[in-house]
Amino acid sequence: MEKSDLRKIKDWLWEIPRESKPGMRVPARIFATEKMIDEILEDRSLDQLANVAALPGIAGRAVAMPDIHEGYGFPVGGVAAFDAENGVISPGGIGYDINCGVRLLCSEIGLSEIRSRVPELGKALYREIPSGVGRAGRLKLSDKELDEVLLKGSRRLVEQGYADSEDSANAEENGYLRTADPKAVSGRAKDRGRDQLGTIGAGNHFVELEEIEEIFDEEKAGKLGLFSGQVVILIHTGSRGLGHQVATDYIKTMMNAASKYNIALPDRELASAPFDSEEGQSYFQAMSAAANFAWANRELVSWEARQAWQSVLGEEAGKLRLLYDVAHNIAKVEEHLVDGKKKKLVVHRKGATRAFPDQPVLVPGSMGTRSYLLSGEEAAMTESFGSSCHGAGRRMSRTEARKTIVAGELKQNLAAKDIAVFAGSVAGMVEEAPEAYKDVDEVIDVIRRAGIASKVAKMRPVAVIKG
Amino acid sequence: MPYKILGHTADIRLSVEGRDLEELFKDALKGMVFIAGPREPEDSKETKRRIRISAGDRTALLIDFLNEVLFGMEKNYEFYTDVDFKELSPIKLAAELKARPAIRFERNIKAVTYHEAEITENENNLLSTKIVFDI
Repeated sequence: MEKSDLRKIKDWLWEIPRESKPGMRVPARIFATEKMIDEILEDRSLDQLANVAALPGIAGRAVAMPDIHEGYGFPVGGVAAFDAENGVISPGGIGYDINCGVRLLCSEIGLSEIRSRVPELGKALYREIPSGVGRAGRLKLSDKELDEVLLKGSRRLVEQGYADSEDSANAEENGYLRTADPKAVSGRAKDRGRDQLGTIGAGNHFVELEEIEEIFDEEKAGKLGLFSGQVVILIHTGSRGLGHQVATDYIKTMMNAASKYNIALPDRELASAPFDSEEGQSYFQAMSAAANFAWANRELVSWEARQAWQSVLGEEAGKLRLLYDVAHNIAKVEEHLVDGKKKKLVVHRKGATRAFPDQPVLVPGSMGTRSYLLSGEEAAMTESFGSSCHGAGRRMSRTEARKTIVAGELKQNLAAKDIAVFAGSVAGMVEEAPEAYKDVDEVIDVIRRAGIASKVAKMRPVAVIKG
Repeated sequence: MPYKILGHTADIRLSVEGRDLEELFKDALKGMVFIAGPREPEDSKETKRRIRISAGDRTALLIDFLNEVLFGMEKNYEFYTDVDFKELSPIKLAAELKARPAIRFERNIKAVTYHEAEITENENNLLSTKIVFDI
């Protein structure tokens, strides 16, 4: 894709017209400044977005957020909505980490009250919350217990006393999708996830102790119980091996079924099936079950964080309340206006967050930079199928990060910013360095200018826990 | 080096080649284990794992083989130093993997993707393909 293939609509909005690439059924729109577009054109994200626009039943337009980067099949930071009657569902449009997402726990105290205890608290969080590749959690679930989690999501953890019902009430979809069917999840997917509940894994997943550094909207922040200097905990993880295996299983199923439904695949990772087909429905049920596993996972990680909090600070430090929990790799059936008509759509968000009006939207930055709490705005419903960005977005490959970033210097730089890091893998930490990511402030600025979401608060990390 | 790590913004792209399918599959396995970065405990012992896979074509067979390996790595917390193919055709394989226990892995490979994978013969008459790993 060349810049000349694009049409600039506004300073923060670009379009790939339908005629730019053979096969495109709808145009694609990218929320980005010209500077961002120049960077985005350095990888294959926009070719991938154009391929998505060629899938059967795509409605309106394919959409890319300012944090877009190259993925596999679908780009990361993309939104695609397909007609629920005549369109497809594609596991690659959700990604391998089904319901990877973010949740924010809010304390009742300010950082100034516990500043000297931060290293101790960081250590306790690192000790209490299993992190790293394949590291087992505190539970090993039987088939029956696992099925309960797949069916009920975070509600199952509430039933077991790991959380209050207030927690699931404050999560997207109340922390579970009713469309889940554990029978649609393979035995090997269950085997991969059986002992991983309550673990964050590795890669870009983390738990961060943060302080509210700046409030942009006093009224909204007040309603959400936020105040300047407040200590909060941001948790980023997903459905772990169980979700990865569900995606692997169904991409294979749909790849084999593509010819049955006459779906041409420019890339095997775009494997799809009609949403109302047997394969489509079976995947949707399995994806919903994996999404429920992810919500339960973040719920158990929250319990672990609360244990660490209380063990270091005691009862007097108060509770950690769940402000909100959002998914950023998921497909949902929603109603949206397309060409002025209300339609039932299967909205695929891969590296994109639901942003319905007044809904809290959590956007983590990179390790060492700020994270944002936004509030969904009306324009999201007309411009992006009710979706916003999901993070800063990578700009540097992992291999380049390892070549150019020195672990010792990174730790020193973070320490100079008063950020304590607890990481199991030095190499993993280097790959996730702030330099490997885009400027989150610029990403958020585009979202704000586009009217998709408004800024409520900005958070600064003080301790980072990584696998 | 039988494989090369190429740039990819978020994940890892591997380029691999071999004189025949067997060499290509073996080199892909080595590349994947390199990416995962296992750390072995002292006094570990080698064990063997048998696998059997079928797929629609040789490219799908390679990706499915690597996903099978990934499943074993995560479920059994082990890595594989070599593979002995008892049977290998473009649509079917039976093999024995040489396994060693791991105490940790440097990277979390979520999945081996079909994205950009296509086994073709290159200008040096070698079979080659790219493989993108979701990290």
